[in-house]
Amino acid sequence: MKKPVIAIAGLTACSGCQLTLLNCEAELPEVAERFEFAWFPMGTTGGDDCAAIDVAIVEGAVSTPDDLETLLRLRSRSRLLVAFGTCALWGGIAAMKNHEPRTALTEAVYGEMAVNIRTFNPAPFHQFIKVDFAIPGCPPEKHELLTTLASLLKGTFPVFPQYPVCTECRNRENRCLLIEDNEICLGPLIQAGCNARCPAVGIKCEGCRGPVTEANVAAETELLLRKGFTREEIESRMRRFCPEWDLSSPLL
Amino acid sequence: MMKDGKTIPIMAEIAEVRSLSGDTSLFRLRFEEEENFHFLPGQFVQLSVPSGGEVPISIAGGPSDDRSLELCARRVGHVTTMLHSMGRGEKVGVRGPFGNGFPVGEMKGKDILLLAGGLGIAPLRSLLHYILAYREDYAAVTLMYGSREPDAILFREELAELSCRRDMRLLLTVDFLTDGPPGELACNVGLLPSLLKGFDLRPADTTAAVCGPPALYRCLTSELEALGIPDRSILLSLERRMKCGVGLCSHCAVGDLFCCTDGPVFRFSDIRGIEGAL
Amino acid sequence: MARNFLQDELLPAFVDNLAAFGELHGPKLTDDGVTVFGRVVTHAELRLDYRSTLLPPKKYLLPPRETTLAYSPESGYRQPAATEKNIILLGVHPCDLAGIAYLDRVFMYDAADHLYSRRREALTLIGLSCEPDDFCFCGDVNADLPVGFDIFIQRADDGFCLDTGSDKGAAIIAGLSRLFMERERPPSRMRNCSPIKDAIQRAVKTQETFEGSPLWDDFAARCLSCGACSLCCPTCYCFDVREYGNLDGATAERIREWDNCLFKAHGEVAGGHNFRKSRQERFRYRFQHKYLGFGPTRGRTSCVGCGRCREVCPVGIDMLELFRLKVEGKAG
Repeated sequence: MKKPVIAIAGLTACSGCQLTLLNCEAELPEVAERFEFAWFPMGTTGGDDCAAIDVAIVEGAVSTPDDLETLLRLRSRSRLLVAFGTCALWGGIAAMKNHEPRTALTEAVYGEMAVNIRTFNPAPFHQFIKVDFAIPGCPPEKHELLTTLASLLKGTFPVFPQYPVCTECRNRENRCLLIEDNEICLGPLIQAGCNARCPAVGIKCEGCRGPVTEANVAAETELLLRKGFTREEIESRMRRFCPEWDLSSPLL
Repeated sequence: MMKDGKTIPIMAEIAEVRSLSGDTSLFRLRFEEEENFHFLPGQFVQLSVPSGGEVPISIAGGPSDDRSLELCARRVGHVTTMLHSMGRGEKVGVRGPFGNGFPVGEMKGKDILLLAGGLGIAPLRSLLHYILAYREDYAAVTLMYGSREPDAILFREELAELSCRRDMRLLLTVDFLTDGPPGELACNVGLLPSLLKGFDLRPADTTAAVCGPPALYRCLTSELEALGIPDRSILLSLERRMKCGVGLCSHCAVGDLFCCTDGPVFRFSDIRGIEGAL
Repeated sequence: MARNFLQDELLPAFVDNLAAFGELHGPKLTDDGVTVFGRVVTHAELRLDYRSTLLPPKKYLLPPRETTLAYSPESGYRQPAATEKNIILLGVHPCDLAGIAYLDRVFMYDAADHLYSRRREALTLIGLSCEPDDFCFCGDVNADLPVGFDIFIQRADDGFCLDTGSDKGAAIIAGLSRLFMERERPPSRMRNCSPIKDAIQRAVKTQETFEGSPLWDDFAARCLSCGACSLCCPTCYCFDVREYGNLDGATAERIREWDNCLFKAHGEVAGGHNFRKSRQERFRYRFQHKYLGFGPTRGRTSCVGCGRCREVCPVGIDMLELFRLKVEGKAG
């Protein structure tokens, strides 16, 4: 069987998603054996940046002209492209202030130098290119990455369940932070897959995996308002990992 | 170890792949062991593609095949995409057959009207093969088959052969013509129900069997009733996403009936009042 | 006269001796204060005065997620090897016993499920009488009388009265007979019924679907599709089946996992068509399954009145309102 040729790259991001792969210590030898890494600047030296690629796995938000160029180049060289992590899928942390004017933000950080900053509002891939598959998470879960790689060996993508964090949280019989403790937990709105990692240790769901299919934002907002949170608190909490809860997005 | 073919898939080899259209192929499977696979037209199997999973697919072949099984699959989801990337000699799993199938005994002596839309031809091809194998048991036989466009007509060579037969009628239609030549098959242009206009039938003695996309059932059932066919003689083969095939997983309920065990073939009279059935 | 009376002070000895018959499980508290059924090492961990557990005991028979088949190119699909340990589940309330009895009917009769049956055979059920709480209504759905137990423990003033329901239960009682004494049987407790009992029974009998009720829209608008209602339901058993390949590129595993009829994917077919596109339709499907029954369970209410779904719903959806509204509508 011919080894799938893959590229792993990052745009504006913390590289945490790529690190998820490097953290799969036990499986790395097998991954290295099954795939041909054509381009993985963070993990390998050298590499061929014009080879034809079967699958590009790309993290980060698109926030600079360079990002966009890299993304377009990877897209045109790859048969399949995977949005790797919440930034690539939704915009992520970098996009949490997208509702404020860009110039004000750059000036706040860079002062007078801001005029030289050529960036735009961090945006997810699907605003620019066709995305074939997404692995959500900040960072993504190892098992979802490895399952995706395993599927790619068969030329396909895995089917992950489309239910919210609450489902996994209840299955673990965690204490419900939303009902019992009246916390601003986003569990009902957020795509599962993390096995309720945070609520299992008493930390409310911050929403790092982004919206679940058919997230009922109106009902959750209503519920949190009734619990005494302000609309600003709720919105800022929801925007932390996903700037626009536009439920008409083709990925929802 | 249990090996009943209902719980654990039995492995079969892909013996032949016949491309029927751009996205649809006929897969002939041959069982590895000497299994005699007995089924009724209208029944379905759960087809496993290793690493991909399982999908319900209706049996497309006739009763004469013993160790082999014909399945017609469109490349539409995750599992069928994997299936389409497979070729001769590769292995798949089969559980089944499941479901009730068409009441072929009860249909004896009747005029048989088969109405297929798109991929809905698959179970009706199985039924037609059965009826033609026992031709003398049935009165007039008609197949009406509608496709989106000429290129989407499945089983073209077989249809050409059927069109020459004197013991049945074949009427084809396409929703619209594309640029290319319409091909060798005589074909009406219009939606499937348009074939019924002016069609001469004996409503009280006719059993109609329908299979097609969800939208087809609603308009066809009213047309067939308007022609005087009683609702209990209108048989509908319904599609649902069965996950288990044995009445457990509860994904395929139609009202209080399970598509996998009570169906997939239902009398229109039994489901006409059920919300969301059609 | 009841023969098997256990005095309060002998309860610890009874519990600790049960370990001889299997691994003891019962109601206990987790570190963050949730009541769950779980492994109990000593009687001190048990909370026999518990109200309700978060997940019902169905998790012992149908785990939230399990591998049903393993695939390898050499041997095809195979079921996982059988190594079920005997489990004694102590302290199961009548509603949960009724839940297990319903699941038994689904998974052990028409379409016997091998994995379920295997676990069921290894499970010993010791029921326990209970006191109604603010959420439960077992009497309304005739699930207040204990069924399907191996042993049932009825609370009395200064001890417990034990009944046996199976040979397995009788063997345990016989083995521990030194702990029991004879005592007057305690009066059976009041049935836990509410004014809507008749409405529920009538609806089931007439296969009432409440078409046109304004509540469907109300439920649909509020529902978060979090899944809690069915995960925590003693009789919800819808499951999804998926398969994942391994990194060797050859072997694979098939899993089944609890599903929920309020999830979007529940009614989808290949190509994306959805037979239950809206949440309203999904609620009606849920009602049909819960109160009217599907297929072989047609005409049988699967609700056992434990009240978990009402308690765990973040937005307080309560399907009983359908019956209540009907009763009030008639009265008004």
